[in-house]
Amino acid sequence: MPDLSKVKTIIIVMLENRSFDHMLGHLSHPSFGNNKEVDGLGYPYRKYENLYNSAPYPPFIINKDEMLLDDAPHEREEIKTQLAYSDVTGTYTMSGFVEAYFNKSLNEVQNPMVMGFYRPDLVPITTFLANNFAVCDRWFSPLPTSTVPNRLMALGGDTRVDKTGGITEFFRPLDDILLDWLDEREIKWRVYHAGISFFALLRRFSDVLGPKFRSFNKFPGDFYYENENESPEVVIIEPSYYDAPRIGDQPNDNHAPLSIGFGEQFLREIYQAVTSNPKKWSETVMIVTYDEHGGFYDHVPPLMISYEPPDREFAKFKSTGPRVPTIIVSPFVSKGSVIHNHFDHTSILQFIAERFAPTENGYSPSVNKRKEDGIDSISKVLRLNNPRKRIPAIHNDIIISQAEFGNDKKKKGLMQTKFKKAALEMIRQEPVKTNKIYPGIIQWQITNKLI
Amino acid sequence: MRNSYLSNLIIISAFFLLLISCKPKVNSFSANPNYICQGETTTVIWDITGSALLYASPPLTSTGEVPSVGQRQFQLESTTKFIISALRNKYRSEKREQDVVVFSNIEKKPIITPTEINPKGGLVAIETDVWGDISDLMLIENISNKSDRKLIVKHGGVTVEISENGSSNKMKGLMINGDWEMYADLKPGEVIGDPNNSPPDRLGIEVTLSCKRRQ
Repeated sequence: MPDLSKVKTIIIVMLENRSFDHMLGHLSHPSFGNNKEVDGLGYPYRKYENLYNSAPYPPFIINKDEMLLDDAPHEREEIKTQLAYSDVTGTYTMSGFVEAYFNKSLNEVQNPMVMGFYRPDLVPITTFLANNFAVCDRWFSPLPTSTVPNRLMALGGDTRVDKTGGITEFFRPLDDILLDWLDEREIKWRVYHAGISFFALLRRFSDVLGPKFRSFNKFPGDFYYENENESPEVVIIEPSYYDAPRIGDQPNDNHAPLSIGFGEQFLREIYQAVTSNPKKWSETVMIVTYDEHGGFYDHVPPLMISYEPPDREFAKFKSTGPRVPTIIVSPFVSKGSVIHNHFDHTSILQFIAERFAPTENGYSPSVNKRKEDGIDSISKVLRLNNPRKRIPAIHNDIIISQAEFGNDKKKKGLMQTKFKKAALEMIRQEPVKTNKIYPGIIQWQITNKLI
Repeated sequence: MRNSYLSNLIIISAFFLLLISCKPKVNSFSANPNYICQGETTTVIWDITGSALLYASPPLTSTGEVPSVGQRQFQLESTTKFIISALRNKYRSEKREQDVVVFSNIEKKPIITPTEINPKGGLVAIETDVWGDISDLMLIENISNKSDRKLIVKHGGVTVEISENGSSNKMKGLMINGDWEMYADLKPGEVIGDPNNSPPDRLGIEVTLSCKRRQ
């Protein structure tokens, strides 16, 4: 492990709703990467078969990047079905993904999309990053539930909600999150957003409309030109969320049913930006991960690490969620390394505390408890004392998804409603600033007859 | 004044009607029957708001652009995926899929079911919903054990014992629908609930079926 003071910039990129096997299972597959070091997919498929009405459903290769038929179920109760705990084996059998999907979907097809996994050429940037940096094949979403609780765990190590649906407020405004923790310690941070920020859902409008939140379009220039005194030490890069109001940018968070090409292009732009300045790159650790598995199949049972909320707002979780694809992109990792340590999103918080507040007793009691339960810090991935000199070059071909963009009004999920409410509230409170930061938002209001 | 009001109302109503009609939607899409024997026909029925495109994989004639509401019959030789797409333009579409499973005259179908703890000892796996749609289509020829141990299988009032890798034709002529029960003993060293030494989470057989043509 390097002296962590050599790490000057930590970048967090959190995409949406894909499982490890779905995105990176190909790495170990004999037809593709054939890397036996990775705990991905391979033959025989029988060991992965899900059951529905007594029929087996094995994984299958997704051969084309196109808009998927549906979103897949991924709320707490649905994930319980997916994990399929067996009293006989005393383990999660991971055999209920198809059942959960068919219980919700109108598309009872022979190859249900939740069992699909991408060919490497359909996820070229993810594959490139995996082959050139460090894949964590035991990185789990913290909780077996949906987006909001898992993102809150990533942003603060605690959540007071156990699902995305059925709530009026996502997070109590008084609760501190990572941004507050950093402010208290005068650690510079910045959020770059490709669309409306997730933080708007937390009603942190003064932050979202403030100087530390910048359009993703500014990121390449900022990273290249800013000197060390100006540069943020912690950077959060947010995609354009599928569920957020569309204000011009193509959604690229990889939330189903989005095709995957848009997210790949987003990753390519990020990688090219962070490697554009070799000096800064040599001091950077970037985490590319997903908030949760999104209902897609993964074959590794979750870790038996429980979580109880601060004031017992909901019944405790007995385990983590399924694995999510996570790659640590940094010159401090060996090319093509595969890390089997146990991680979840709170590993990021552990790492930030290690790096910026080494004299303190960790990030928070909740994060410390997960550490005691076996969740490691990202520092365990950084195994080179000095940064690699050569920067792996990414190919310059533009990734063009052949898929349709999708119907803006097709899906009216809870997250879409929450995003819409947050956007309208932000406009009501700060119309001038909102229009300045999100210039397309007035057009969105007009198009959707909201004014 | 009143005429002007009425004409405005008509224009506004027409505008809203136009807006509603612009939204592509699959109102319904089905194939009936969706389990057939090889060479039989199925009827695909759809009701779309917007322009309709019907695809089939593998491709079939009489697909492509179709009326917004309609039905077509297809004689199928292999399992076919039908996709209906309602569209207004490149950016506004909705689609839905429907598989029609085509059985050969002889089909092999697995019945694989999660195991539970048998209060009388060992394991039990019970399946109560085996392909209800095809229950009148497929008749049992024989059954094979696909578990790693001896099984006792009960179905349709018949009980058979099948050794590991063995098979039996004692259920020949029975329909596949109805309850299936599979019983098995633990192997030496297996401990229920111990992840490191657990028995299997599922038991399975393979049923060989013959397809009974309806047409």
